This record gives sequence, C-alpha cells and structure tokens, in this order.
Amino acid sequence: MQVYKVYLKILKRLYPFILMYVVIFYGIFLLQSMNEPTTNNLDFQIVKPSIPVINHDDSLLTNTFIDYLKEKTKIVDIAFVEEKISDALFHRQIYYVIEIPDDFGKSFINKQTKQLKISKIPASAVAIYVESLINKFFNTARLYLVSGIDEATLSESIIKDLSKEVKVEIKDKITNNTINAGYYYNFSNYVYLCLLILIISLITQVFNQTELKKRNLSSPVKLKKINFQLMLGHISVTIIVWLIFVIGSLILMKNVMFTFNGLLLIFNSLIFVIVAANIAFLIGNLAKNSEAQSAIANIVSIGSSFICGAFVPQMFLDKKVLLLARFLPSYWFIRANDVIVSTSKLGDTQFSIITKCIVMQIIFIFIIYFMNLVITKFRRKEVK
Amino acid sequence: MFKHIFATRLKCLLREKSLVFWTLIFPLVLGTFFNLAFSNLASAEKFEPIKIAVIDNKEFREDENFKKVLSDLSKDDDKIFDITYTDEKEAEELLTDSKIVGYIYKDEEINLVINKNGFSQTIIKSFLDQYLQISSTISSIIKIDSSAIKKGLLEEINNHQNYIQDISKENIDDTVVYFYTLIGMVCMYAGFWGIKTVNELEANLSGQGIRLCLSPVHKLKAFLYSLLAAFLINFIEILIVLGYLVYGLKIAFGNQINYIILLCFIGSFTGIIFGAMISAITTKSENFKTGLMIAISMFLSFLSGMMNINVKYFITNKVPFLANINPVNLITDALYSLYYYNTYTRFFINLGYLTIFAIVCTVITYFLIRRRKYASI
Amino acid sequence: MNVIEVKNLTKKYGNLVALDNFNLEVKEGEILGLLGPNGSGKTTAINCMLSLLEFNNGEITIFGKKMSPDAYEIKKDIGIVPQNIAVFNELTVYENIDYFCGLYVMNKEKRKKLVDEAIQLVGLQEFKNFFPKKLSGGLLRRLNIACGIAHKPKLIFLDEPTVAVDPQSRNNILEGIKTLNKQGATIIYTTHYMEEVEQLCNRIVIIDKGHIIAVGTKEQLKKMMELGEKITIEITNLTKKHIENLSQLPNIKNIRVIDEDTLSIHFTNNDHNLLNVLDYVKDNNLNCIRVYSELPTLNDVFLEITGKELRD
Repeated sequence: MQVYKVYLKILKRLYPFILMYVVIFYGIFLLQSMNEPTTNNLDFQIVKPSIPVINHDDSLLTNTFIDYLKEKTKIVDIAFVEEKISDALFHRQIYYVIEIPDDFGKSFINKQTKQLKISKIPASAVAIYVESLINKFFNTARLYLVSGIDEATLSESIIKDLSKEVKVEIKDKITNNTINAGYYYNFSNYVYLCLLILIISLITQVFNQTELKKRNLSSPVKLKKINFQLMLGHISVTIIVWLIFVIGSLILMKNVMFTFNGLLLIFNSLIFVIVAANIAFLIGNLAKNSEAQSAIANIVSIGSSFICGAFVPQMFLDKKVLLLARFLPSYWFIRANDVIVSTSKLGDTQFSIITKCIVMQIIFIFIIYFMNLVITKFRRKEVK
Repeated sequence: MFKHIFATRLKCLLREKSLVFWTLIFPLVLGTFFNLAFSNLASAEKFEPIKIAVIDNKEFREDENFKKVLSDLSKDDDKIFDITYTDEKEAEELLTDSKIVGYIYKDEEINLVINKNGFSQTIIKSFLDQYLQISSTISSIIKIDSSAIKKGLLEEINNHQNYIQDISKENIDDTVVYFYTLIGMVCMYAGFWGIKTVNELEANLSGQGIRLCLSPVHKLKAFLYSLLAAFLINFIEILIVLGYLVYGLKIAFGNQINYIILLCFIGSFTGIIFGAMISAITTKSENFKTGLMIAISMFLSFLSGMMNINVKYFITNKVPFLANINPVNLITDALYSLYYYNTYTRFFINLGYLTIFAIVCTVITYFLIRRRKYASI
Repeated sequence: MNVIEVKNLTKKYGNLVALDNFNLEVKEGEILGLLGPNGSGKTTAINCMLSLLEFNNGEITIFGKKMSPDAYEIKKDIGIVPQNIAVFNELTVYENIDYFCGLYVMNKEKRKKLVDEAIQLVGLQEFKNFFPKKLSGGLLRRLNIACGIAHKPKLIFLDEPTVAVDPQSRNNILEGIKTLNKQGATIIYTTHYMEEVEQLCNRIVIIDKGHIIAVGTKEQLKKMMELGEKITIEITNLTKKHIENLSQLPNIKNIRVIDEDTLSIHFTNNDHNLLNVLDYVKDNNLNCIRVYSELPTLNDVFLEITGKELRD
C-alpha cells in the first residue's frame, strides 16, 4: 500500500486548503439562511415583508394605518437615515418604504390630495402586496367618508372591516428548513467540484509526472496495483469531502435531513460527488501543469455553478442558459435537489423527474469514465 | 536606465502566462458567467401572476360578484392571478405537482387551500380578504347612513384613487454589484504583480535581486521603475475588463467615467503595493506568497459580496470597520455609490479610505525595502 | 596594489560566529581561490565584502575606497556570479545577459558588442534565443556566469560556479575564467573542488568555520605544511618491526597504517624516496603487491590542517 500511503500524505498537506473552502461555504450558507424569513410554523401564517415607515404625521387615521400595517407587515426599525434606507432597498433587505408626510391624516379627511411618498423595487411581489394594503385601507376609509362619520368611528370601522378573512387550509407541511436544505445542497455543487478537482487532479498529476511514472512502471509493484491504490485514494478523498458536507447538513438541519426528502438529497449528492470525482480525474489527466490545472478547476467549478443554478436558483435563470446547462451534470444534480425540496409528499411526477436527473448523472459518470480510460491508455503509450 | 528596466520588466511580467491568466482572463470569464447567471434575475424579480385554481362548483357559479372580482384580478397586463377553473380532484393534483400555488373553493364561505406558507400564498389571501372586506364595508356604511347608496357609494367603490407618490431611484439593479466586486478583485490581483516585482528585486529573496543590489543602480529607483511596469500592465488589464463589462456585457456603471477611471487607477496601485508589502514582509517562497494573495483576495472579495451580495450588506451595517479597511469592498462600494446615488460624497469617502490603505501599505513597503544591507541572505 | 582589503571582519548570526576576525588582501590581476568545505563562510565573506550583508565589525576597501551599499563608483567595476542560478525564466539567454549588462552599460551599441562577446566567451552562441527552462544544468551555469561578466568588470566574484556541472561545461567555464583573467580582471573564486583551485588559482585562501587557516600559492601551502611525496605500498607479510624500520628511512615525515597490509608513507621532500623504499622491500624480502607514489595535493594540505576531508 505504498502508493496509497503517499496519497494520504499529500492529502494531509492539503488540509488548510480544504479548511478554507469549508469556512467560505458555511460562512455564505449561514448568512444566506439568516436572511430567509423563518416560518417553521406548520399552521398558516402570512409572510410579513419588512417595511420601514417614516411617519411625520400624528393623526388617529395614520396611527390606525400603521397599526394595520403592523399586522400585515414587519415594520422594521432601520435608523431613518436616508442613505441607510436606500442601501437596504438596493440590497433587497426591504422592497418598499413608506414616508407619511405632515398632516396627511387631516388632509385625507378633508379630501385634499397629500400623498404617501414611497420608494420600492418596482413590480416586485412585495410592492404589489403593500400597495394593495395601502389601497385597501384608504379606499375603505374613503368610502366611509361618503357617509360623513368622525375620525374615531372611521378608524374603528376600518379595523373591523379589514379583520374579515378567508379560511386557509394547508395541505402539505413543508418548512423553510426544507428549502434551506435545498439551498445547502445546491450550493454544495460548487465546493464539491472545486475541492475534488483541486485535490484529485493535483494528485493525479503528481503521479502522472513522467519521471515518477517511469519509476513506478519499472518498480516491482504492478501497474494494476498502483492504479488500484490510486483509485482507492480517489475514493477515500471523495468520501471524506462528501461526508464533511453531509455531516454538516445533518447537524445544521437535522429535522429535515432525517426525513425521506433529506435522505434523497443525500443520495443525490452521493451520485454527484462520483461525477465530480470523475471530472476531477479527467482534468488531472488533461492539464499540463499545476497552473493550468488550478485555472481549469476554478473555471469549471465556478462556471457550472453559475450556469446550472447553484448560486442563482434555476427558476431565475435565463431559458437559453438553462438549455446550455443541460449538457452539464451539475444541472441534473441541482434540478433533482429543487424537485426534492419542492414538496414533502413526493408524487409520481416528482419521482419521475428525480429518477431522470439521477440517470442523467449516471450517464455522465460512464461517459467521463470512458474518456478517462481512453486517455490513460494513450498516456501509457506515450511513456513507453 | 528607466527605459531599460521598465521595458525588461514589461517583458518579464507579460511572459508570465499564469499571472496573465489570473489577472485578465479569469476576471473576463468570471464576468461572463456572472452575466449568464444574472441576465434574467432582474426580470425574475418582477411579479409573475400567481397560478391558482378555482373549483367550479354550484356555489361559485351562483356568486356573480365573486366571479367578477376574480375575473377582474386575472385579466389585463397587470393581472394578479392566472386562474384555472376545474373540479376538486384535478385541483388537488395540480397542487401536489406544484403546478398551482393554491386553489379556492366556495361553500358558505370562501376557502383557500395551499401547500405551504409563502409570500404568494399571502398575496392570494390578501386579495381574497379584500373581497370579504369590501362587502363588510358596504353593509356597515349602509347601516350608518342608509342614504349612502343614493349619495353615490357604489360609484365611489370603483372610483379608486391613488394615495402614493413614487419617489424610487431609477438604478436599482442589484446584480451590478457582482460585477463591481469583480473590478475590486482585479485590483487586488494586481498584488501578484507586486509580489513578483519585489521578489526579483530583494537580494534576500532571489538571485536576480542580488545582482541588482550589487549593480550601480539605486535600489529604490529600480523598484519604482519595476513597479511602474507592473502598474501599467494591471491598469490596462482593468481597463480591458471594465471595457468588456461596459461595452460587451452592457453592465451599468453610473456615468462618471472619469471618476471610475480614477478609482481603478488608485485601486490598481493599492493592489500592487499590497502584494509588494506581502512579498517584502516574509522570505517564504513565491508560491507561498501567491497562495496567500489568492486566499486574501478571495476572502476580501467574499466579504465584499462577490459570492453573495447580502454579505456586503451585512458587513457594512454590522461591522463597518471591516468594510472600511477592505480594499475590494471600498472599490465595490465606490462604484455602487456612483451607480445608485446622485451625490459623490460616498464615492470620495470610499476613495479616501482606499488611498489611506494604499499609503499605509506604501509606507510599510518603503521601510521594508529601504534597507540596503541584509541581516542574512 | 591591493584590489580588496578586508580588515578584522566579524559576522555573527545570533550566537553563531560565521566570520571571525577575517583578514584578506586581494592583489590586482590575480585569481584568488577561496577554498573551504560547505558552510565554512566563503559566501558570507563575499557578501560582506560587497556590503550586501550587515556585519558586526571590520573594514572593507575595494579599489582603495571604502565599500558601502551606495558606492556606485566601485560597484560599476564589479561583476558577480552568485552561487544559485540568478536569471529570469521569462527572458531568453540573450535578453538576460543584455538586461544585466544594461544595468552597467547604457549605450546600446556598446552593450550589444559586450553581450555578444560574453555569449562567445561561455559558448552559448547556439542557444541565444533559448529560454532558461530549455537549458541543461551546465548551459544554465554558463548563462549565470555570462550575466555577471558581460560588462567587463575589473573585479569578478565567482561563487561556486561549477556546482553540478558536466565535465565539458566545467572546462568551458574554467577556460572562460582564465580568459577573463588574461584580459585583466582580478578574480575571486570560491569552491570546494580542490582540482579547480590547483588548475586555476594563483593564490589560495583556506577557510574553515569562519577562520582563515592558511594563505599562499599552492606550492607555498604545501611547503608550509612540509608536505612532500606520498608513497602508498601494499605488503602482505608486514610486521611492526618493518614499519619501525621503514620510519628510519631519510626524509620521512610520518607513516600511517591504512589497513593490515597497506601503508601510507609521507616524506618531507619530493624526490628519490621511492628508491629507498623499494630497496628496503627488496633487502627484507617483503612480498610487495603494489606501490605507487603521488605528489601532495591541496586535499592533503587541507587534511593536514583541519584533520578532515574537503568534500563533505
């Protein structure tokens, strides 16, 4: 097991490197999941978008309005510095800002035309929602004004009306945690590719260096045995890297990962790391030197992560980009993840998509494996 | 002498293929990937009509008002719903397959069935609520004032008024920030040039350095000339990347081209001198330094939002100190403020911090490479 | 005239004394060999002389002027060939030499002539446009030398220029150095190869552990050590008595027993000793298998002074 031992020795030297990727991965993931609203309640809950309200008015009507908004949205407490709010809006921390001008309530009751000043991300769902709330409130108020009632009764009546609600029934019990798990596994596409390519292709290259290979070929250890030990090394690396992130997900999201959906996510990722390991081996065989290899590693991992939806979800990607992505294994890995977390009750439709995605990945494994065989044969002749 | 050293350094640097890859080709490729991934993001943010189903039963067919409200909400360009009218069994199937967000069925009341909590679901509910609420409003107004209908209440219902004045900024495409971090990253990658420059200059770092130190050329002068060559290359690279982003990928960059170029100028210098400083601090191998530089610039780019724009927001608001000493963030933020704000204060604050950073690095580097004799070689 | 004068040079690395009260004079036009095992302080001495290294104590003058990092007038006339290959991998052979020469000689035409001459001298004509990565170890060493001497310096430091070099390149290099010397350059040459020093140097300085332990021409050194002919003889029926008798022969310095059958007999002079030994062998009917005579080498000198071999 001489070759295998050397393999593990090289691997040990690479650990700061692996650590760096692990830190970046979890850093981004935790920040991302912090940003998601956490509605883990299984009963119906409205999702409340965050809305800063800057109020310059102190009338009963506006206060009622703000109370109403508080029920339907989260009125956040961003320091009311214009730049802070603008920044938050740009970074999609908020989608809508309302500024209530002086004497707005008085002006409204007197049927004058003071307006709320708003900034928004146009045509966003939040903007549509909040605007419907505003319209609802003030249009109702306007109707009451027809009957000429006083401000106090007006406010009371509006609140009474607006508390009428339809009945909601939830069929499925899917939580945000599940969606987070999907994000986690999609994002793992990047680290799997990047780490495996860098490690496996680096080591492949070390052993492919002609001098070393000659020595290996002439040593009493049979080539088959050497290749077997190398393969064993690659498998070990793949499993170690896979386990790091699987265990991480088990710790962070244990209530999701131990469901059937969670296990499917894990299984899907196991198939994918095998694809990634084969790609890594291919690159190690093809790249001429370690510089070219790290260039390819970065481009392949970052490129396929972007195009296939590891960073930006597939549903937000351009149709043409997705068409191109179908030729990459990452696309099928991520598509399967998306379908797995879409519902807790996987039906036939979902199963047929997931199966297709996994079969596609297995086809990729065979294609790349075959390419590797051809190249290795070719290389061996070169040495002789 | 300037011409001799400068020209030779240009040759040396440009022939280092892997550096040219990392400082030029890689950013171009990354920019292309960004573009592929984000091209649709702005329109994806746009509200899409929510797909729902309505159970077409007896109760529904008899409720003319409700039918009208739903059809109003699902026509025209700014429709809220895409409605399929169907029976309960099919609606159930559509919901399981996530083809619809929820379905509505009417018995004595209006009911909404959904699969999970979410914002689309909240919107459906809010619009359905509105239907109930208006009915409630009308009946309570008639209770208060029975002459309301005569006074024109029903006309008033449809006489919606606008209570808002939109003062939103125009440039709100947040994906541009990714491209801005790219410019920041290229500036930091200038550090590779800086590392190489100092390595080949210091007698305790390389044989070429020994030769230079023993030649009748003033070391700081040689350093300056070499630095200029590195700077010229990096600055041109940045202009190429910038040109590609602006003209090739049509990324919006504000319209103060002079300020942007000034920023790139200082940013590029900052990167080079930062690399030079790293190179001068330690006598470890060039590979080690390059690795360190990659790790540092990756990390700084990460903190500036290159992998996720929320990171930048989080750092800027929660750890502003870290944001202000991170050159990649300063460059990103400066470009962002040119794009988003109409004032230049923030741009110049960023530029100021960046300049301070560069000056600190320059001073440290100066004191490190000023010495003419070495304790050991 | 002395080209270099070093007085009381002391250099410490922490507690380790690298050079201890080092004194040296280099005469114009000579090839001075700095000889010593690895780690003896040869390179440190050179780097101190050139003001590249800080030192604790001492005074150094070159061309009669005090040496300092900004003594550009002095540096103009110095050429250095560092121990490690110091060339740019991104530049061709020609460009490398041209660059380093250009640090001394501004005039382009003059420089072109100088670079061509340097290429000629080290025999790299065919490799002018090669990049260093394509050169073999020996050719790379030659390039390393060419880069240091192209500007025709009056004083050249060569720090182990022949380490790991094939015999052909080594001869080429040594011939080149002789040529430079003939053209008027003073040369300081460090090495731990004894033969090179014997072949090349007019004067030799032997260093060990930061001390100069001997200075002189090779003949002087050998004489100083009273080293004469060495005769090695292998005798099967050797007894203690014979060894005692042999040591009574004239001009004997000492006798070493190398193993049971072999003796190494050292003489204080060089001539007529073999006959005496052979006579004794014949008279006593000793069974002599082999005998041979050598003149002393610097290695013997070094061995004599330090008690250890040079090459380890």
